[in-house]
Order: sequence, then C-alpha cells, then structure tokens
Amino acid sequence: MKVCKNCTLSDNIFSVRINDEGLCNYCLQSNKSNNNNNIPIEEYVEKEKQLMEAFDKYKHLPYQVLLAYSGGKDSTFTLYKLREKFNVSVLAVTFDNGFLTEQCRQNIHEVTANLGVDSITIKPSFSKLAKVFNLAASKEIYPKKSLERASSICTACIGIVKSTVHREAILRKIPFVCFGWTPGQVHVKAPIMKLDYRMVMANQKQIQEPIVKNLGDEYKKYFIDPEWIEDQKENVPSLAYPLVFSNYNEDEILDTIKSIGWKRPKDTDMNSTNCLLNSYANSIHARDYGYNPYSLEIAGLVREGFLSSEEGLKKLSASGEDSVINYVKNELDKYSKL
Amino acid sequence: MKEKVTLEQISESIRNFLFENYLFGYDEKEFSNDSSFLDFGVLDSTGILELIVFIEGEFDIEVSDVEILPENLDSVNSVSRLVYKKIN
Repeated sequence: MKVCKNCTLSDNIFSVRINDEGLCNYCLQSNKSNNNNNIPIEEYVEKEKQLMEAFDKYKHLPYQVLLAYSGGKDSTFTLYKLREKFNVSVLAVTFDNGFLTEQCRQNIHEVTANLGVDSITIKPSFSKLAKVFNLAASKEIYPKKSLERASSICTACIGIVKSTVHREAILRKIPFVCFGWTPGQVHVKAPIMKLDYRMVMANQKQIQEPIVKNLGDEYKKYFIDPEWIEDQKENVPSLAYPLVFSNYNEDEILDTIKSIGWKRPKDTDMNSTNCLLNSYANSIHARDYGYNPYSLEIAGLVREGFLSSEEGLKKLSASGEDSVINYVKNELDKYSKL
Repeated sequence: MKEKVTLEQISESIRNFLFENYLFGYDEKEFSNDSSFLDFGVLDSTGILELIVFIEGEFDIEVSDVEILPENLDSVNSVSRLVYKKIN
C-alpha cells in the first residue's frame, strides 16, 4: 500500500493512484479544480453575505432553517453559527438511530436550550433500523464511490436522514435545510443550492431501492413518496452550507461549542462525536475494503490546510473500542431478529 | 478548451473523468454513453455535485441550479449535450 505524502490518502481506496513523486491524483487535481483550497478571506465574507441575504428574505417565517442536528461537533457548530452569526430561526431535527450516546442527548438538550432553538427528535423503530444496518453491513448495496466517502452503514443511515429532514422541511414549509457538512466533505461552488424535486428523488432512489428490495415495501415509509413531493414541489427546500465556506479549525470549533454547553462524549471513536454505530460501521468497512471510510474527508481537510498530515494520520489510524463494537453488533443482531 | 470543441471531445473527456473517478472495475464496453448513472449506481448526490464542479472547471461554464436535473446529468451523452449547448 502506498500513501500520498501530501494528504494521507492510501491507494487501497478505489480511485486513488499515487505517482512516482508520492503524490495522489486528488492532490494533483486539487491544484486545478474548483475547491476551497486557498480561498481568500474576502471570498468567505462574500459567501457569508450571500447566505445572510438569502436567509433574510424569510425573516417572517417561524423557522427559516431546518438543521439536521446530530448532536456532533460539526452540526453543533453549524447551529451556533446559524444563531449567533446569521441570527436565523432554526428548527433542529435529530434523527435517533438508536446509537446516540447519553452525552450526545445531553448535549442536544443543553445546546438547544442555550441557543434558544426548538428541537424535535425522530426515531424510527429500532428493530427496523437494525435490519437496515445489518443489510448494509452484509451486502454491497451501494456504489463503490459512495463507499469511498462513508461506510455502507453510514450511507444507509444518512440517506434516511436526508429523506426525513427534507420531508419535515416540506411539511413545515421551511425554506432551507442545513447539515453540518465541513469543507472536506462536500465541494460545492455556492453556499446555497436549490435542487429540483426530481433530483431529490433521483438521489433518494439510490438509497431507498436496495433497502425496499431486500427488506420489503414497509420500508417505503422512511422515504419521500414520489407523488406527494410532486404536489409539494414548490416547498422543496434549498440546501445551505454555512460551514463549507469558512476556515475550518477543529480546536476553535471545540472551544466555541464548549461555551454553549457541549461536552465531548467519552465512548465514541475519534471520528465521531455523537454516535456509537460509527465504530462498528468503520470496523466492517476497514475489514471489507482495507481503508478508513473517513479517509477522503480527512485528506480533504489536510489538503486544504485545515489539519496537519500528522493529525490526519492519527485520526485515520484510531479504531473504535472493541467493547463498543461488540455492543453495537450484539444490539443489531438482537433487534434485527424481531 | 472553450471554443471549437466537438460533442465527441466533450463526451471523451467526461467518460475519462468517470472511468478515472467512479467506474471502478467496469469494462468500457459495459458502460455506454447512454447508460444511466443512477441506474448503474455510479453517481450518488455528492458525485453529481462533483461532476458539475468538474465540467464547470474543464469547460469554463456555469451550471445553474435549474439545470441540475436528471435529464441533463444522468448519462455521458446527456451531460455532453448540456456542456455543448452551453459552450456554443
């Protein structure tokens, strides 16, 4: 296995090729592509201005933004920024996959109280979710490219989260949906994107189809109905990216969110600050594919100067606690039999 | 690459991008220029955004939100036609 000397990517990842100089194709491409690398501060200011103006058009609504709030550090910082910097009204929607830590639940309680934010939690039956996660762990149901960005289990989980929050935003006529996406996770040219409902459905199809095909029609209820969204197409929200165009500094983020009552859970792995399932999902992914599913995200942060390569490698080499991995496995096995 | 580029050249460039970045393990013959990205399961939502970033940079064009539709972005041919229309 070869590792890029610049960004930490290994050639175990399907799309990574390392050249004779020890540089990967992502680093070579980043010099000419349109990413956030070396964006001058004026451009960040301009992007934030665009966000502010877009949000301000909807000041009259009860909620301007629906935030998919996992309780982790990035979505907590996104919530902080939405409230303190953009001064928008937010509905925080948490999807409970059954593996949120107790500290995470406490953090959601503290942070939403301190920021004056209304919050709801949506929790599908755990036995249903356990079957989805076990399916994702045992069969290759998603494209290889998706598996470069996240484990199969996390892809299934976040796919259901996306459908859930879109449906909530449409139902409540909330014009913007935010996630805690960081600069390493997505590359978009603008801080706001309005996707046509057909695109939302095309994206959903990839997550939904293998789940319904393998587990049955009763799982359709966790996704958006195609006829309903067509009737509601005027209410499909825009996607807003408040963290993507910013100087992402993990230490500063942690310091900031501590000031609003957030505490780091002690039982999650190094790449998660809210969910125990992550450790199990990563271990399955590393076993099946030979690399950490956070590799591309971490390499993106290293490449863009938000993390040092030493910090990146440390994150990549850290695995979850065996006790947590076994706990998750046992829970999934137990509940997926129901 | 902004002017006098042919539809065939655009298709070739997009096809190369896809085979280098997304179509791991596929034989070139398995994936035609009319094959649906979504049906083949090669592009997810983030992949679509990355494809847009690629064509904007490669062909010096801007794709607006209203153009981000399955019919414009679901095959090598549909993406090529969108690019060709925009640069001509």
